[in-house]
Amino acid sequence: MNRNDWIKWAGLAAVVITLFLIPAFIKSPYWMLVLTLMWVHIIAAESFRHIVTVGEYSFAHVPLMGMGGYASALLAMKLGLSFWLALPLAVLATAIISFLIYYPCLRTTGTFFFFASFAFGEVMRLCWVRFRYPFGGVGGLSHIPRPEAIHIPGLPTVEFTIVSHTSYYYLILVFMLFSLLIMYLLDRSRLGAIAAAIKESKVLASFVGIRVWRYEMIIFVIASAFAALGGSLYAHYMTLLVPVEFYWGLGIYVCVWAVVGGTGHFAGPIVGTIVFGLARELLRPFPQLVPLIYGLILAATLAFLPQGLISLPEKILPWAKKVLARVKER
Amino acid sequence: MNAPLLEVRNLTKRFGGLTAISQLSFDLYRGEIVGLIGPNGAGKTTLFNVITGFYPPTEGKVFYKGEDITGFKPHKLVQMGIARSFQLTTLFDNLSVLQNVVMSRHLHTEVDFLGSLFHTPGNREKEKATEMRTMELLKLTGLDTQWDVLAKNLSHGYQKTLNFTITVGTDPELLMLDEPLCALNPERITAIQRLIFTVRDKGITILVIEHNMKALFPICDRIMVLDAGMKIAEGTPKEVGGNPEVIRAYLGGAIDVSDRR
Amino acid sequence: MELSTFLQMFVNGTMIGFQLALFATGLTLVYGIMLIINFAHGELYMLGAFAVFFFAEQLGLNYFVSLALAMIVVGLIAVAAERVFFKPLRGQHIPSFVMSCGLAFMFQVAAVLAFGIKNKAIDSVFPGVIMLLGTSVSVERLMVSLISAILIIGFYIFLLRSRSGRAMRAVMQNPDAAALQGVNINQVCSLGMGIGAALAAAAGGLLAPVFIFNPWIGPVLTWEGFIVVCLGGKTSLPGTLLAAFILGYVRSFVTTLVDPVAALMCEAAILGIILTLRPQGLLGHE
Repeated sequence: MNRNDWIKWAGLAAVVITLFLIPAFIKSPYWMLVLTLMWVHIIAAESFRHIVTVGEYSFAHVPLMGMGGYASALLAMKLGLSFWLALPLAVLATAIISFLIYYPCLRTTGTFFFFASFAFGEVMRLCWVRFRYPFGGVGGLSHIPRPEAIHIPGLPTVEFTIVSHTSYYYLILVFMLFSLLIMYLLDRSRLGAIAAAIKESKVLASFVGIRVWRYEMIIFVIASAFAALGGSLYAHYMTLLVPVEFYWGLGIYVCVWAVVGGTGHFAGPIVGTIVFGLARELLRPFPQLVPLIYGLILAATLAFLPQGLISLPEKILPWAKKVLARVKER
Repeated sequence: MNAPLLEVRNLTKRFGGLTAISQLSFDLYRGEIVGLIGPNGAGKTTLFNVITGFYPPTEGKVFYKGEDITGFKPHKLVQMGIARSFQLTTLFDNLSVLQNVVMSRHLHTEVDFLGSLFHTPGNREKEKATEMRTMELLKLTGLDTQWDVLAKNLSHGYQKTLNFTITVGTDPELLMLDEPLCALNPERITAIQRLIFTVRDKGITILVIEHNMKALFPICDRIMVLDAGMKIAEGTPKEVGGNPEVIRAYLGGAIDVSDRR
Repeated sequence: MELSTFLQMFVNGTMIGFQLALFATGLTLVYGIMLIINFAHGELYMLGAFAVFFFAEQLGLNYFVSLALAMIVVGLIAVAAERVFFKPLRGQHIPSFVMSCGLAFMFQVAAVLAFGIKNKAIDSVFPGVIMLLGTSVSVERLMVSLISAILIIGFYIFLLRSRSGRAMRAVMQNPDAAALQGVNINQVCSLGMGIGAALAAAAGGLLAPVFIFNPWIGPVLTWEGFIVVCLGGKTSLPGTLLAAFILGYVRSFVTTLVDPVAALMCEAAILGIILTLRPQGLLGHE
């Protein structure tokens, strides 16, 4: 580990510490909500990117996130399970469902994979609308149980009530950091290298002995598991889940956050989600402008910075160095 | 008695009304270098595609070491030791030369996901070992100085060499090369010819499609000639060169004689 | 099931079939000629509805005149869009698709700026109800189907008999061969886009008196059109007609016998199954 790496790790540690300290400075429940939801969105965007690393764009991703939420909520409501048990079970259940959805989709690729994934995701989402029992129909599920309080002897009880903004903030922050860590390690692991190879050329990958179908499916299921994690956290935070929240519009937003941030780098979707999250807050007084501003940012990025916002430092650095050199000359 | 490594029996492939290859049969023996020539559209690449599982044959069978491998998928064939290069350079464009060849070692790299996930010391050792083995391979084919160049930024000649290196990297017993010398300058051609000999000396059997007959004939033990999907001649380079059928096939159909280059 | 219910579903399904056929034909035409999935097609329908609104309600022109004007105006807008935005991307599938999404967005914004965000409607042109096959049918919807049928037949006559039509068919079959025979590919692309847009605008204008509309009705319609095109066979015009009626009947029967959500599920499932199990659709070729 050289000096550059130490700087990077130190910077990262500083950021994480800041995130943990935010609730000490920001007390407004509204901003707590905004930030907490941003953590959920980051999980969604980063797990979406995981699928992009193997070269596909999936529109079943957001519906599967919803499925995680519904599964978790139903396990808690109908079977009386504690949130702490419902969450992992919901993740497992959604992983299995994602396997079933992606199984036929793997016969297609590119734009047609995109549409097939959307079609099957939509069928699943419409099930929530159609079957009032158990999914609650158009009105969805309400009064979803909150997580049970955490009792650690010696420490104050951590409660999750309607006013426990800080508890939820930390809960979801921790899960988000955990998810990001695992996905980062996966990206740097053998699986990530295989995914990159498949993305470059499925044909060549199979001709070096890579079982493309198997690895694509592994990646899809892992990404769906993380999406389900986000969905479950969302469900027990908002205590309300409606089918229309996971329609294709949200799918486009997640895709835009990831693409504008830059799917080439791991941190790209994080940047994208934060930028658009802030933009949305700035545009609160002008809700009609939101699609327009989003569209402009997307168009500008595709035209001038196709690798996403995350590539901005790379582009500016050589230019900045030149300027610095000229200044030094003087 | 030398049993053939590869046996092709009555292989036929029809696309709708078009018959690309028809009733092809031949044997390949261990340690041979066999050339495959024929005018454009004779079905050479189709033959490769059918043998390597790109599409199933309409009729016929393929046997490898006595086992029926007809219609087996590409990754399975690579596992069994059959590797193939592509006419149009197929590379992992945005990966470096080293990463490209490391990928080709996929089947020979131990799968230890947890170790690779957490970058345990044990895993790092294995990765180092794979990288060293890969660098040896790169040194062999002359790409070691460009190990960190992205594949898409290589010159055409080196891209073809990388394609060849990837194919060899899978440790095959049977190497199928599709026009490895296409559009290369004489210096690169000699380099690849030498590589083919080196590879053969390691005991690998080679089947080569090539249009450049001047470069192909000197390195082959045998030549097969395809025309309009059928085998019209087979023999030593000398026999085939003087065969009137072969000459007629080239003069009658699309002429692609190497002297023109 | 009573006969009258069955007939009602059948008549409904047939009318939906005509609507989908008129709308989706343009989408297939554009895909067949330029191999691009035009995700702004629904917006062309929307612009057609707004154009008729503009000419008929705001300028007070006769409905049929407004319809014709709408077809021409939207057709020309589409031709301009093709020349400016699609021509440089010809041959690149994914950028063209993304560009069409961008265009859809631009058309939506334009409609909002020009007409506002509120729902709009046009008064019925053909009021009243008649009895058809023992079921009551609004004359309006009957006329929509009739005019759609006339437009579709007119389009096919153009395609099969006229010189430009034959040029289009040539390009759809084999663009390189067509170019060698002297066909002006640029003209054919623009013409195809223009005609496809005109048909979509016609569908929008015809249904303006029937359904309320606003700037955001486009995407759902594009989606439905896309299902029709994929089911029929992406480059097959007869396939589009067949698929339009199949989907019309599916929607009509499932909506009545089960419920509207089930109909949507069926359509999504049909798309998923076609894309994964039979990508060439019903009448298309590999």
